[in-house]
Amino acid sequence: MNLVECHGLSKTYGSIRALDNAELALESGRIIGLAGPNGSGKTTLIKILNGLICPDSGSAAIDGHEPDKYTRSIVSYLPDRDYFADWMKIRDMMDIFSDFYADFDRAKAEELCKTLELNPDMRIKTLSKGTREKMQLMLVMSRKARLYVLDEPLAGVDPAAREFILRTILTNYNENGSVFISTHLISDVEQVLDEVVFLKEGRVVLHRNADDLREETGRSIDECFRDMFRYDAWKEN
Amino acid sequence: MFGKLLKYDFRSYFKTLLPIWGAILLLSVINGFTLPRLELPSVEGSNAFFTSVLPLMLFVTSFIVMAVTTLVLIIQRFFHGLLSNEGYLMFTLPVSRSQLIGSKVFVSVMVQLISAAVVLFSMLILGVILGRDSFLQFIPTAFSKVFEIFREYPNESWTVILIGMEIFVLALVSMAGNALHLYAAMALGHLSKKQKVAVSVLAWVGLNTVVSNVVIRLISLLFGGSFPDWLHMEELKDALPILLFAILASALLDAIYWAITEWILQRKLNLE
Repeated sequence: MNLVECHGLSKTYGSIRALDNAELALESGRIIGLAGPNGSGKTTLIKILNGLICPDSGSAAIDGHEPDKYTRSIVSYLPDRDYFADWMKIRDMMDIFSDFYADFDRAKAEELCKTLELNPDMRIKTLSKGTREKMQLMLVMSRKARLYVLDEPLAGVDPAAREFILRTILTNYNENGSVFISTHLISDVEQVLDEVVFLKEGRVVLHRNADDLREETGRSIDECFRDMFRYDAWKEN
Repeated sequence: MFGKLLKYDFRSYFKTLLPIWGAILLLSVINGFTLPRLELPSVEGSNAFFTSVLPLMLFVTSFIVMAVTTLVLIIQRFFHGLLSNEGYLMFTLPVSRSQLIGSKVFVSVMVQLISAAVVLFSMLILGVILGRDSFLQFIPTAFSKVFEIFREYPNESWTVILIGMEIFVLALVSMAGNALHLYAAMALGHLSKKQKVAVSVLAWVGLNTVVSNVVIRLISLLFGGSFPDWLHMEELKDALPILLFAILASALLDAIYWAITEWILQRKLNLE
Protein backbone atom coordinates (compact mmCIF):
# COMPACT_ATOMS: atom_id res chain seq x y z
CA MET A 1 0.00 0.00 0.00
CA ASN A 2 1.20 3.52 -0.81
CA LEU A 3 1.95 5.78 2.13
CA VAL A 4 0.14 8.70 0.50
CA GLU A 5 -2.65 8.53 -2.05
CA CYS A 6 -4.57 11.44 -3.51
CA HIS A 7 -7.28 11.03 -6.11
CA GLY A 8 -9.02 13.84 -8.00
CA LEU A 9 -8.17 16.45 -5.38
CA SER A 10 -9.69 19.85 -6.18
CA LYS A 11 -9.87 23.02 -4.17
CA THR A 12 -10.90 26.53 -5.16
CA TYR A 13 -10.59 29.81 -3.26
CA GLY A 14 -13.28 32.06 -4.72
CA SER A 15 -12.42 32.19 -8.44
CA ILE A 16 -8.89 30.80 -7.95
CA ARG A 17 -8.44 27.09 -8.59
CA ALA A 18 -5.67 26.04 -6.20
CA LEU A 19 -5.88 22.30 -6.92
CA ASP A 20 -7.39 20.83 -10.05
CA ASN A 21 -8.01 17.10 -10.02
CA ALA A 22 -4.59 16.34 -8.53
CA GLU A 23 -3.45 12.70 -8.49
CA LEU A 24 -0.56 11.54 -6.34
CA ALA A 25 0.85 8.33 -4.87
CA LEU A 26 3.93 8.26 -2.63
CA GLU A 27 5.76 5.22 -1.27
CA SER A 28 7.50 4.71 2.07
CA GLY A 29 11.21 5.26 2.59
CA ARG A 30 11.63 7.95 -0.07
CA ILE A 31 12.65 11.62 -0.14
CA ILE A 32 10.24 13.36 -2.48
CA GLY A 33 10.51 16.94 -3.67
CA LEU A 34 7.32 18.85 -4.40
CA ALA A 35 8.17 21.64 -6.80
CA GLY A 36 6.16 24.28 -8.51
CA PRO A 37 6.07 28.05 -8.89
CA ASN A 38 4.27 30.24 -6.36
CA GLY A 39 0.53 29.65 -6.48
CA SER A 40 0.82 26.19 -8.06
CA GLY A 41 -1.01 24.56 -5.13
CA LYS A 42 1.88 23.10 -3.10
CA THR A 43 0.78 24.51 0.25
CA THR A 44 -2.89 23.67 -0.42
CA LEU A 45 -1.96 20.03 -1.13
CA ILE A 46 0.15 19.88 2.04
CA LYS A 47 -2.59 21.44 4.17
CA ILE A 48 -5.13 18.93 2.86
CA LEU A 49 -2.78 16.07 3.82
CA ASN A 50 -2.64 17.56 7.33
CA GLY A 51 -6.39 18.09 7.62
CA LEU A 52 -6.08 21.89 7.85
CA ILE A 53 -8.11 22.43 4.69
CA CYS A 54 -11.02 20.33 3.45
CA PRO A 55 -10.93 19.63 -0.30
CA ASP A 56 -13.95 20.53 -2.46
CA SER A 57 -13.77 17.11 -4.09
CA GLY A 58 -11.51 14.08 -4.31
CA SER A 59 -9.79 12.16 -1.55
CA ALA A 60 -6.49 12.18 0.29
CA ALA A 61 -5.26 9.28 2.40
CA ILE A 62 -2.15 8.58 4.47
CA ASP A 63 -1.47 4.94 5.28
CA GLY A 64 -5.03 4.21 4.15
CA HIS A 65 -6.68 6.78 6.44
CA GLU A 66 -8.23 10.10 5.57
CA PRO A 67 -6.53 12.83 7.62
CA ASP A 68 -7.56 12.01 11.21
CA LYS A 69 -6.21 11.36 14.70
CA TYR A 70 -4.21 8.38 13.45
CA THR A 71 -2.58 10.16 10.49
CA ARG A 72 -1.66 13.10 12.73
CA SER A 73 0.16 10.65 15.00
CA ILE A 74 2.40 9.45 12.14
CA VAL A 75 2.90 12.72 10.20
CA SER A 76 5.42 15.32 11.30
CA TYR A 77 4.46 18.61 9.70
CA LEU A 78 6.50 21.77 9.28
CA PRO A 79 4.11 24.53 8.21
CA ASP A 80 4.98 27.64 6.24
CA ARG A 81 4.45 29.83 9.32
CA ASP A 82 5.14 29.62 13.02
CA TYR A 83 2.34 28.37 15.22
CA PHE A 84 3.60 29.19 18.67
CA ALA A 85 1.79 30.87 21.52
CA ASP A 86 4.54 33.39 22.16
CA TRP A 87 4.16 33.49 25.95
CA MET A 88 5.70 30.00 26.05
CA LYS A 89 9.31 28.97 26.34
CA ILE A 90 11.09 26.57 23.94
CA ARG A 91 10.95 23.97 26.74
CA ASP A 92 7.14 24.33 26.94
CA MET A 93 6.85 23.44 23.26
CA MET A 94 9.09 20.41 23.83
CA ASP A 95 6.75 19.41 26.69
CA ILE A 96 3.72 19.68 24.38
CA PHE A 97 5.40 17.52 21.74
CA SER A 98 6.43 14.97 24.43
CA ASP A 99 2.87 14.93 25.78
CA PHE A 100 1.08 14.44 22.49
CA TYR A 101 3.40 12.61 20.09
CA ALA A 102 4.42 9.12 21.14
CA ASP A 103 7.20 9.20 18.54
CA PHE A 104 8.82 12.39 19.93
CA ASP A 105 12.39 11.72 21.05
CA ARG A 106 13.07 14.15 23.90
CA ALA A 107 16.79 13.31 24.11
CA LYS A 108 17.16 13.99 20.42
CA ALA A 109 15.31 17.30 20.82
CA GLU A 110 17.69 18.37 23.61
CA GLU A 111 20.64 17.37 21.44
CA LEU A 112 19.25 19.27 18.44
CA CYS A 113 18.78 22.33 20.65
CA LYS A 114 22.51 22.26 21.36
CA THR A 115 23.39 21.78 17.67
CA LEU A 116 21.07 24.58 16.61
CA GLU A 117 22.18 26.78 19.52
CA LEU A 118 18.70 27.02 21.03
CA ASN A 119 18.36 27.71 24.74
CA PRO A 120 15.25 25.79 25.95
CA ASP A 121 14.59 28.43 28.61
CA MET A 122 14.21 31.27 26.14
CA ARG A 123 10.77 32.81 25.73
CA ILE A 124 9.40 32.41 22.22
CA LYS A 125 8.35 36.07 22.26
CA THR A 126 12.00 37.13 22.34
CA LEU A 127 13.15 34.90 19.44
CA SER A 128 14.00 36.22 15.98
CA LYS A 129 12.18 34.85 12.93
CA GLY A 130 15.19 32.70 12.02
CA THR A 131 15.44 31.24 15.54
CA ARG A 132 11.72 30.43 15.54
CA GLU A 133 12.22 28.55 12.27
CA LYS A 134 15.13 26.62 13.75
CA MET A 135 13.01 25.77 16.78
CA GLN A 136 10.17 24.50 14.64
CA LEU A 137 12.61 22.38 12.64
CA MET A 138 14.06 20.98 15.88
CA LEU A 139 10.59 19.92 17.06
CA VAL A 140 9.51 18.41 13.75
CA MET A 141 12.76 16.50 13.15
CA SER A 142 12.84 15.11 16.71
CA ARG A 143 9.88 12.88 15.86
CA LYS A 144 10.36 9.38 14.49
CA ALA A 145 7.51 9.88 12.04
CA ARG A 146 6.33 7.74 9.14
CA LEU A 147 5.99 10.85 7.00
CA TYR A 148 7.62 14.27 7.30
CA VAL A 149 5.75 16.96 5.41
CA LEU A 150 7.92 20.04 5.16
CA ASP A 151 6.43 23.14 3.59
CA GLU A 152 9.15 25.38 2.14
CA PRO A 153 11.72 24.82 4.92
CA LEU A 154 14.36 26.64 2.86
CA ALA A 155 12.34 29.69 1.91
CA GLY A 156 13.50 33.05 3.21
CA VAL A 157 16.88 31.91 4.55
CA ASP A 158 20.35 32.63 3.20
CA PRO A 159 22.25 29.93 1.21
CA ALA A 160 24.53 29.02 4.13
CA ALA A 161 21.53 28.45 6.40
CA ARG A 162 19.80 26.42 3.67
CA GLU A 163 22.64 23.93 3.66
CA PHE A 164 22.51 23.72 7.44
CA ILE A 165 18.74 23.16 7.46
CA LEU A 166 18.97 20.51 4.77
CA ARG A 167 21.73 18.72 6.67
CA THR A 168 19.60 18.82 9.84
CA ILE A 169 16.70 17.25 7.96
CA LEU A 170 18.84 14.55 6.33
CA THR A 171 20.70 13.55 9.47
CA ASN A 172 17.63 13.38 11.66
CA TYR A 173 14.71 11.91 9.73
CA ASN A 174 13.45 8.39 10.33
CA GLU A 175 14.92 6.43 7.43
CA ASN A 176 11.99 4.02 7.28
CA GLY A 177 9.67 6.96 6.74
CA SER A 178 9.31 9.35 3.83
CA VAL A 179 10.13 13.02 3.52
CA PHE A 180 7.83 15.13 1.37
CA ILE A 181 9.47 18.52 0.95
CA SER A 182 7.99 21.41 -0.94
CA THR A 183 10.29 24.00 -2.45
CA HIS A 184 10.91 26.20 -5.42
CA LEU A 185 14.66 26.15 -4.73
CA ILE A 186 15.29 22.89 -6.57
CA SER A 187 19.04 23.31 -6.98
CA ASP A 188 19.51 23.24 -3.20
CA VAL A 189 17.71 19.95 -2.68
CA GLU A 190 18.02 18.07 -5.92
CA GLN A 191 21.02 15.96 -4.89
CA VAL A 192 19.10 14.38 -2.01
CA LEU A 193 15.81 13.68 -3.78
CA ASP A 194 14.70 10.17 -4.72
CA GLU A 195 11.63 11.46 -6.55
CA VAL A 196 10.26 14.74 -7.84
CA VAL A 197 6.69 15.91 -8.23
CA PHE A 198 6.02 19.00 -10.36
CA LEU A 199 2.82 20.87 -9.68
CA LYS A 200 1.47 23.34 -12.23
CA GLU A 201 -1.77 25.26 -11.85
CA GLY A 202 -3.04 22.76 -9.31
CA ARG A 203 -2.24 19.65 -11.36
CA VAL A 204 0.50 17.07 -10.93
CA VAL A 205 2.23 17.41 -14.30
CA LEU A 206 5.22 15.20 -13.55
CA HIS A 207 6.10 12.56 -10.96
CA ARG A 208 9.34 10.74 -11.65
CA ASN A 209 12.31 9.05 -10.10
CA ALA A 210 14.97 11.78 -9.83
CA ASP A 211 17.81 9.69 -11.36
CA ASP A 212 15.61 8.51 -14.23
CA LEU A 213 14.58 12.06 -15.05
CA ARG A 214 18.19 13.25 -15.08
CA GLU A 215 19.26 10.29 -17.23
CA GLU A 216 16.44 10.63 -19.76
CA THR A 217 16.70 14.39 -20.21
CA GLY A 218 20.45 14.73 -19.75
CA ARG A 219 19.78 17.72 -17.51
CA SER A 220 19.58 18.50 -13.84
CA ILE A 221 16.16 18.58 -12.18
CA ASP A 222 16.64 22.30 -11.67
CA GLU A 223 17.03 22.74 -15.45
CA CYS A 224 13.96 20.58 -16.12
CA PHE A 225 12.02 22.74 -13.64
CA ARG A 226 13.19 25.97 -15.27
CA ASP A 227 12.23 24.63 -18.72
CA MET A 228 8.79 23.60 -17.63
CA PHE A 229 7.97 26.79 -15.74
CA ARG A 230 9.78 29.35 -17.89
CA TYR A 231 6.52 30.75 -19.19
CA ASP A 232 5.07 31.01 -15.67
CA ALA A 233 8.18 32.82 -14.45
CA TRP A 234 7.91 35.26 -17.32
CA LYS A 235 4.22 35.70 -16.59
CA GLU A 236 4.92 36.50 -12.92
CA ASN A 237 7.62 39.05 -13.78
CA MET B 1 -4.93 13.00 25.52
CA PHE B 2 -7.94 14.98 26.79
CA GLY B 3 -6.19 15.58 30.11
CA LYS B 4 -3.13 16.91 28.28
CA LEU B 5 -5.29 19.29 26.26
CA LEU B 6 -6.87 20.52 29.50
CA LYS B 7 -3.43 21.16 30.98
CA TYR B 8 -2.46 23.26 27.96
CA ASP B 9 -5.77 25.18 27.92
CA PHE B 10 -5.76 25.81 31.69
CA ARG B 11 -2.24 27.26 31.47
CA SER B 12 -3.22 29.65 28.69
CA TYR B 13 -6.12 30.99 30.81
CA PHE B 14 -4.37 30.99 34.17
CA LYS B 15 -1.36 33.03 33.07
CA THR B 16 -3.73 36.00 32.63
CA LEU B 17 -6.45 35.28 35.19
CA LEU B 18 -4.37 34.22 38.22
CA PRO B 19 -2.91 37.72 38.73
CA ILE B 20 -6.41 39.24 38.40
CA TRP B 21 -7.93 36.80 40.89
CA GLY B 22 -5.00 37.48 43.23
CA ALA B 23 -5.46 41.24 42.86
CA ILE B 24 -9.19 40.98 43.71
CA LEU B 25 -8.51 39.00 46.87
CA LEU B 26 -5.74 41.40 47.88
CA LEU B 27 -7.97 44.41 47.21
CA SER B 28 -10.73 42.87 49.31
CA VAL B 29 -8.29 42.66 52.24
CA ILE B 30 -7.15 46.28 51.68
CA ASN B 31 -10.74 47.49 51.38
CA GLY B 32 -11.61 45.67 54.58
CA PHE B 33 -9.34 48.12 56.37
CA THR B 34 -9.92 51.23 54.22
CA LEU B 35 -13.71 51.08 53.78
CA PRO B 36 -14.58 52.17 57.37
CA ARG B 37 -12.64 55.42 56.75
CA LEU B 38 -14.98 56.20 53.86
CA GLU B 39 -17.69 57.20 56.33
CA LEU B 40 -15.46 59.50 58.34
CA PRO B 41 -15.35 63.15 57.40
CA SER B 42 -12.18 63.91 55.52
CA VAL B 43 -9.77 65.66 57.83
CA GLU B 44 -6.65 65.40 55.78
CA GLY B 45 -8.29 66.36 52.50
CA SER B 46 -6.49 64.74 49.56
CA ASN B 47 -5.15 61.87 51.70
CA ALA B 48 -8.66 60.47 52.12
CA PHE B 49 -8.78 59.81 48.40
CA PHE B 50 -5.75 57.54 48.53
CA THR B 51 -6.65 55.80 51.77
CA SER B 52 -10.30 54.99 51.08
CA VAL B 53 -11.76 56.13 47.74
CA LEU B 54 -8.98 54.82 45.49
CA PRO B 55 -8.92 51.27 46.97
CA LEU B 56 -12.70 51.09 46.57
CA MET B 57 -12.50 52.27 42.95
CA LEU B 58 -9.76 49.72 42.24
CA PHE B 59 -11.82 47.00 43.93
CA VAL B 60 -14.89 47.72 41.75
CA THR B 61 -12.73 48.10 38.63
CA SER B 62 -11.01 44.77 39.29
CA PHE B 63 -14.39 42.97 39.09
CA ILE B 64 -15.11 44.61 35.74
CA VAL B 65 -11.60 43.74 34.50
CA MET B 66 -12.10 40.13 35.58
CA ALA B 67 -15.48 39.82 33.81
CA VAL B 68 -14.22 41.43 30.60
CA THR B 69 -10.94 39.46 30.61
CA THR B 70 -12.78 36.16 31.13
CA LEU B 71 -15.04 36.92 28.17
CA VAL B 72 -12.15 38.08 25.98
CA LEU B 73 -10.12 34.97 26.87
CA ILE B 74 -13.00 32.63 25.99
CA ILE B 75 -13.15 34.28 22.55
CA GLN B 76 -9.40 34.62 22.11
CA ARG B 77 -8.48 31.05 23.14
CA PHE B 78 -10.83 29.71 20.47
CA PHE B 79 -10.10 32.28 17.74
CA HIS B 80 -6.32 32.49 18.19
CA GLY B 81 -5.92 29.02 19.62
CA LEU B 82 -7.76 27.18 16.86
CA LEU B 83 -8.75 29.38 13.93
CA SER B 84 -5.49 31.35 13.55
CA ASN B 85 -1.80 30.39 13.42
CA GLU B 86 -1.89 28.34 16.65
CA GLY B 87 -4.47 26.17 14.89
CA TYR B 88 -1.65 24.78 12.73
CA LEU B 89 -0.37 23.09 15.87
CA MET B 90 -3.66 22.26 17.58
CA PHE B 91 -5.30 20.70 14.50
CA THR B 92 -2.20 18.59 13.76
CA LEU B 93 -2.06 17.07 17.26
CA PRO B 94 -3.32 13.48 17.39
CA VAL B 95 -6.62 14.43 19.05
CA SER B 96 -10.16 14.56 17.71
CA ARG B 97 -12.08 17.76 16.96
CA SER B 98 -14.55 16.94 19.75
CA GLN B 99 -11.67 16.65 22.24
CA LEU B 100 -10.41 20.07 21.14
CA ILE B 101 -13.87 21.62 21.63
CA GLY B 102 -14.52 19.68 24.84
CA SER B 103 -11.30 20.89 26.41
CA LYS B 104 -12.06 24.52 25.52
CA VAL B 105 -15.62 24.25 26.91
CA PHE B 106 -14.55 22.51 30.13
CA VAL B 107 -11.82 25.05 30.86
CA SER B 108 -14.11 28.00 30.06
CA VAL B 109 -16.74 26.66 32.50
CA MET B 110 -14.09 26.17 35.17
CA VAL B 111 -12.72 29.72 34.84
CA GLN B 112 -16.26 31.15 34.98
CA LEU B 113 -16.86 29.09 38.15
CA ILE B 114 -13.56 30.15 39.70
CA SER B 115 -14.31 33.81 38.83
CA ALA B 116 -17.69 33.50 40.58
CA ALA B 117 -16.02 31.82 43.56
CA VAL B 118 -13.42 34.61 43.73
CA VAL B 119 -16.24 37.19 43.91
CA LEU B 120 -17.94 35.27 46.74
CA PHE B 121 -14.69 34.70 48.58
CA SER B 122 -13.67 38.36 48.31
CA MET B 123 -17.04 39.34 49.81
CA LEU B 124 -16.46 36.86 52.61
CA ILE B 125 -13.01 38.35 53.30
CA LEU B 126 -14.53 41.82 53.30
CA GLY B 127 -17.25 40.65 55.69
CA VAL B 128 -14.80 39.01 58.07
CA ILE B 129 -12.54 42.08 58.23
CA LEU B 130 -15.35 44.64 58.39
CA GLY B 131 -17.56 42.73 60.80
CA ARG B 132 -14.65 41.24 62.79
CA ASP B 133 -16.03 39.39 65.80
CA SER B 134 -19.69 39.87 64.97
CA PHE B 135 -19.24 38.30 61.51
CA LEU B 136 -17.36 35.34 62.92
CA GLN B 137 -20.11 34.84 65.50
CA PHE B 138 -22.75 35.17 62.83
CA ILE B 139 -21.47 32.18 60.85
CA PRO B 140 -22.02 29.51 63.57
CA THR B 141 -25.36 31.15 64.46
CA ALA B 142 -26.42 31.00 60.82
CA PHE B 143 -25.40 27.35 60.58
CA SER B 144 -27.28 26.40 63.74
CA LYS B 145 -30.38 28.22 62.42
CA VAL B 146 -30.12 26.26 59.17
CA PHE B 147 -29.92 22.96 61.09
CA GLU B 148 -32.89 24.02 63.19
CA ILE B 149 -34.98 24.75 60.11
CA PHE B 150 -33.85 21.45 58.63
CA ARG B 151 -35.06 19.57 61.73
CA GLU B 152 -38.42 21.33 61.78
CA TYR B 153 -39.20 21.18 58.07
CA PRO B 154 -37.20 18.25 56.66
CA ASN B 155 -39.25 17.86 53.46
CA GLU B 156 -39.13 21.52 52.52
CA SER B 157 -35.43 21.65 53.37
CA TRP B 158 -34.67 18.77 51.06
CA THR B 159 -36.65 20.55 48.33
CA VAL B 160 -34.55 23.68 48.88
CA ILE B 161 -31.34 21.62 48.68
CA LEU B 162 -32.52 19.95 45.47
CA ILE B 163 -33.49 23.33 44.02
CA GLY B 164 -30.01 24.62 44.93
CA MET B 165 -28.41 21.65 43.18
CA GLU B 166 -30.57 22.17 40.11
CA ILE B 167 -29.67 25.88 40.02
CA PHE B 168 -25.98 24.91 40.21
CA VAL B 169 -26.35 22.45 37.31
CA LEU B 170 -28.31 25.05 35.34
CA ALA B 171 -25.50 27.55 35.98
CA LEU B 172 -22.93 25.02 34.67
CA VAL B 173 -25.00 24.27 31.55
CA SER B 174 -25.48 28.01 30.95
CA MET B 175 -21.75 28.71 31.40
CA ALA B 176 -20.97 26.00 28.83
CA GLY B 177 -23.68 27.57 26.65
CA ASN B 178 -22.00 31.01 26.86
CA ALA B 179 -18.79 29.53 25.47
CA LEU B 180 -20.44 27.24 22.91
CA HIS B 181 -22.59 30.09 21.60
CA LEU B 182 -19.39 32.11 20.99
CA TYR B 183 -17.57 29.10 19.47
CA ALA B 184 -20.41 28.32 17.06
CA ALA B 185 -20.53 32.00 16.00
CA MET B 186 -16.77 32.07 15.38
CA ALA B 187 -16.94 28.77 13.49
CA LEU B 188 -19.69 30.23 11.26
CA GLY B 189 -17.58 33.37 10.80
CA HIS B 190 -14.71 31.10 9.71
CA LEU B 191 -16.83 30.05 6.71
CA SER B 192 -16.62 33.61 5.37
CA LYS B 193 -13.68 34.29 3.06
CA LYS B 194 -13.01 37.90 3.98
CA GLN B 195 -15.32 39.15 6.76
CA LYS B 196 -14.65 36.54 9.44
CA VAL B 197 -15.06 38.89 12.44
CA ALA B 198 -18.16 40.70 11.10
CA VAL B 199 -19.84 37.39 10.19
CA SER B 200 -18.96 35.98 13.62
CA VAL B 201 -20.67 38.93 15.33
CA LEU B 202 -23.75 38.61 13.11
CA ALA B 203 -23.80 34.86 13.67
CA TRP B 204 -23.65 35.38 17.44
CA VAL B 205 -26.72 37.61 17.31
CA GLY B 206 -28.55 35.47 14.74
CA LEU B 207 -27.78 32.09 16.31
CA ASN B 208 -29.56 32.97 19.52
CA THR B 209 -32.77 33.86 17.70
CA VAL B 210 -32.68 30.92 15.30
CA VAL B 211 -31.63 28.22 17.75
CA SER B 212 -34.02 29.40 20.50
CA ASN B 213 -36.82 29.27 17.96
CA VAL B 214 -35.87 25.74 16.96
CA VAL B 215 -35.81 24.65 20.62
CA ILE B 216 -39.21 26.27 21.31
CA ARG B 217 -40.70 24.60 18.23
CA LEU B 218 -39.25 21.26 19.27
CA ILE B 219 -40.75 21.64 22.74
CA SER B 220 -44.16 22.61 21.38
CA LEU B 221 -44.01 19.63 19.00
CA LEU B 222 -43.26 17.34 21.94
CA PHE B 223 -46.06 18.74 24.13
CA GLY B 224 -48.64 19.36 21.43
CA GLY B 225 -48.35 23.14 21.30
CA SER B 226 -49.15 23.85 24.96
CA PHE B 227 -46.88 23.78 27.96
CA PRO B 228 -47.52 20.78 30.20
CA ASP B 229 -49.32 21.11 33.53
CA TRP B 230 -46.23 20.32 35.60
CA LEU B 231 -44.73 23.64 34.50
CA HIS B 232 -47.22 25.59 36.68
CA MET B 233 -45.87 26.71 40.00
CA GLU B 234 -48.01 26.72 43.11
CA GLU B 235 -45.77 25.20 45.76
CA LEU B 236 -42.03 25.35 46.32
CA LYS B 237 -41.51 21.79 45.09
CA ASP B 238 -43.09 22.73 41.75
CA ALA B 239 -39.86 24.57 40.99
CA LEU B 240 -38.06 21.21 40.67
CA PRO B 241 -39.57 20.07 37.34
CA ILE B 242 -39.43 23.65 36.01
CA LEU B 243 -35.70 23.87 36.73
CA LEU B 244 -35.13 20.40 35.31
CA PHE B 245 -36.96 21.49 32.17
CA ALA B 246 -34.75 24.62 31.96
CA ILE B 247 -31.62 22.45 32.35
CA LEU B 248 -32.74 20.13 29.55
CA ALA B 249 -33.68 23.01 27.22
CA SER B 250 -30.32 24.74 27.87
CA ALA B 251 -28.47 21.45 27.35
CA LEU B 252 -30.28 21.03 24.03
CA LEU B 253 -29.12 24.54 23.01
CA ASP B 254 -25.56 23.62 24.04
CA ALA B 255 -25.74 20.43 21.96
CA ILE B 256 -26.88 22.37 18.88
CA TYR B 257 -24.05 24.91 19.25
CA TRP B 258 -21.56 22.08 19.76
CA ALA B 259 -22.81 20.22 16.67
CA ILE B 260 -22.49 23.36 14.51
CA THR B 261 -18.94 23.99 15.78
CA GLU B 262 -17.78 20.40 15.38
CA TRP B 263 -19.29 20.01 11.91
CA ILE B 264 -17.52 23.16 10.65
CA LEU B 265 -14.16 22.24 12.22
CA GLN B 266 -14.47 18.70 10.84
CA ARG B 267 -15.88 19.34 7.38
CA LYS B 268 -15.27 22.99 6.50
CA LEU B 269 -11.96 23.89 8.12
CA ASN B 270 -10.01 26.31 5.96
CA LEU B 271 -6.81 27.52 7.63
CA GLU B 272 -5.57 29.77 4.85
